[in-house]
Amino acid sequence: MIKQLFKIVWNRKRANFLIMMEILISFLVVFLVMVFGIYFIDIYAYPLGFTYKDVWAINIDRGAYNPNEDKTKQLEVVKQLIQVAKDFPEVEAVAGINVIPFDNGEWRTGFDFAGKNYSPAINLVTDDLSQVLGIKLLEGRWFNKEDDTTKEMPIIINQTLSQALYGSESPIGKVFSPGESGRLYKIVGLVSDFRDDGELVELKLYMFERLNLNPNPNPSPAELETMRSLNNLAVKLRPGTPAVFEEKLAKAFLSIAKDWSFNIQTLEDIRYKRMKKTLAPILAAAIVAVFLMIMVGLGLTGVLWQSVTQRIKEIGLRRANGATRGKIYYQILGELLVITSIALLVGTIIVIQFPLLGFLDFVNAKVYIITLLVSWGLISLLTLVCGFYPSNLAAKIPPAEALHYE
Amino acid sequence: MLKNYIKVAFLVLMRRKFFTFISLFAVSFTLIVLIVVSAVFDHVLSPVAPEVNANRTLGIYWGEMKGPESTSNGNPGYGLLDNNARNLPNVELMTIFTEASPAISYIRGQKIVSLMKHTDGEYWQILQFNFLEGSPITTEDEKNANFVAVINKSTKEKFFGKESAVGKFIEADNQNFRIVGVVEDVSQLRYSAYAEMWVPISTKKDPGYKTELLSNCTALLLAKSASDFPSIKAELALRMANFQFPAEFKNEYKNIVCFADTPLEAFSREIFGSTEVNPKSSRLVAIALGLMVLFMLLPAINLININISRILERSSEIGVRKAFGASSWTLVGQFIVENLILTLLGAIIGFIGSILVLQIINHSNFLQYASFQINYRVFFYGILTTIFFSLLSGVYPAWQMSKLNPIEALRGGGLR
Repeated sequence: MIKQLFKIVWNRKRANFLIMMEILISFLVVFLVMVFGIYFIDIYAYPLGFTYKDVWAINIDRGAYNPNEDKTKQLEVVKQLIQVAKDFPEVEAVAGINVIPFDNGEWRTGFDFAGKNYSPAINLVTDDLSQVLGIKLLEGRWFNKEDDTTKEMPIIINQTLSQALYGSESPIGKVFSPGESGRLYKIVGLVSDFRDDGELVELKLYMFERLNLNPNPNPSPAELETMRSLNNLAVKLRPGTPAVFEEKLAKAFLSIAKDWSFNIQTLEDIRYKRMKKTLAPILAAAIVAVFLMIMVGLGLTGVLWQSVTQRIKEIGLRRANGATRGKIYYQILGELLVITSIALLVGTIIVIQFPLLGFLDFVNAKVYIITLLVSWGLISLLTLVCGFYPSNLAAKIPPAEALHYE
Repeated sequence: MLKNYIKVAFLVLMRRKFFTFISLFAVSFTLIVLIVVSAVFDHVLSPVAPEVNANRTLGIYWGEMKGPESTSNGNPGYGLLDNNARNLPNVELMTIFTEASPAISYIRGQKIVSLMKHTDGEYWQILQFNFLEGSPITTEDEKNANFVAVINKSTKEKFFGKESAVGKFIEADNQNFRIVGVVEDVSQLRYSAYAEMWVPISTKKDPGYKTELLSNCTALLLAKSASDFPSIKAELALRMANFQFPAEFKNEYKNIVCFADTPLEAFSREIFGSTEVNPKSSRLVAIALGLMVLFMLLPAINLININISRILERSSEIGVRKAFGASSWTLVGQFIVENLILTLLGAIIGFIGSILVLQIINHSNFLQYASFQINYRVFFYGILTTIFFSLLSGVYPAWQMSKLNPIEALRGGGLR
């Protein structure tokens, strides 16, 4: 039966080749759109590691960098800003943070560990951040006053980094040197994750370093330099705080630092903008792909229909020789299935080359296999729907009429 | 002869309406996508108001500093441009302005974020804005650090509604500006001209911008004509090669580059990260054309399949024509004309459809103040694309048709 089908398909190879090409390219289009869609669905599912509800991000613009500016005074102003914000009854907590979640910027630090080089994203934050963003720890503790006196720099890492450095061992209390002379990192806490690029960016190595706004009475130039990079505050508001509070807060800030500018945004807004930027091109591609598939579907239906009317003689002969309607029906569908399978096979071979060539290599094997299965399913469904009406038409051909056609 | 072909073409189109519908759907959909894409490109790169002088303007959009251990790149800073890009040969005018960045105002308890550009007086001479009222910021305003501002129409409506705005005051980022002019909205995609509020660069809160090497500035250079571009680029490259770093950067960085580019060159520099004086913008165009053809492939194969089906249906007609002595070439010509008529019909639907799609994008507010239009350039690209697509999908079926055996064809037989 199957051998017979292949023979029929082979006999009409020229007409079938073009249909096969059409299905093959449709498969590639569907695959490329689906691979992005499924990739994003997959990484969206991982926990974010913090909550962004009722949190405002305030960017501090201190103007152009000037090597001779009075950094000690600037630090005092930042501390005043934090205190002023905390004093409002609408505010639950305030923290300093170097890189705002969902924002495009990123900081990385590089170090050698056990002979391998790592470059995790790093964020400098103050003690109150866990309160502002509701960060939960898996093990250990968040930064606090205890850290004031330790000579090692306290850090908190995420699970991905912990896995990379220590495998399944607990990282708490471990001390290592990041390479710079005299500096030692001490891991005090482990968080499941802190996805500061949002839900649509791959998991990455991540660590927090403690930013101490009350260093010893005479902070070193390096410490002050670090403070200079503190350009963002995160403010947690009481639920239900009206938007007009923003003006009150901004006025209060500007009365302290007249020469600075402040840009206040909700984290929700920043997240939305970032997501829109990532998803808009994929959405546009998906809309185009849907229309392409409608077009292919209509075209395929037309071509199959035409080929059935052309083969009335052949089908009539089969019917006269005792083939049932069902057999004719399944013959036409079967032929289509053979063409589709060949197209899908070729398509799969092409698609498997992509990661080997370094294209789409950010996608893991799980996503790749799911995408393959979904694309196979969608294309098979499309061709079956297209073949339904023409096969029905063929099955209904009465043998007598068909034979006398000539 | 041609008249006859056209008549036959319409008869054939009317005969099997389902096939005609599928063909027209495929053609018009393909063209809608391609026309919309070319309208967007045209909107970003073509010389339209306020960039009326775009064809003799170069921009310095990007710079890079390199040292033994650090690399830093981004927009050039005011200091770098002011000290090194002024008085280049054959440059009539030069402006330095900042990127548009949010400035915040509160009015009646409501927050208004306006994207603000800091500019000089020359900016308004190189770019010809459409003033609804008032006048631009002048060189004097910049020199004396006058707190004056030009705003766009939408911002005016947010602050003052329907009333006239000139002479009134606006508070933005805790600074008070007197409004001197109101201009038409400019699209977000026009990098140099886009902003909602423009103020003199000398009103910046912190004067430190004057010495910055890399920061958030851009310079536009208005040349006497496009033929002066090479000499301007060469001189800028020479000045960069002789650049002396100020003391505080001397240890960290050893050399610095920045380039005067046309918009297309700047775009390809951003994509390929090239640091040559003349980035290969032809490569970008080639890639764009390649992608267009690739996109057309599926619709074309779809149309080829449908066309072959239609030809098979008409095999007895073709048999008769062959039997009466029509040559293969005549038949090929006839079919190509028929296909061209079909695709042109599709193009009409395609143009109507793309106007609708562009209207939807314009009204969705997805890109601020962007208004994509079908102008004569886009129309021309559209027609060119249609003809190319028509040939792509018509030549193979026509060739197949001309090969039909007349005897077989007369009996209604088809291709093997």
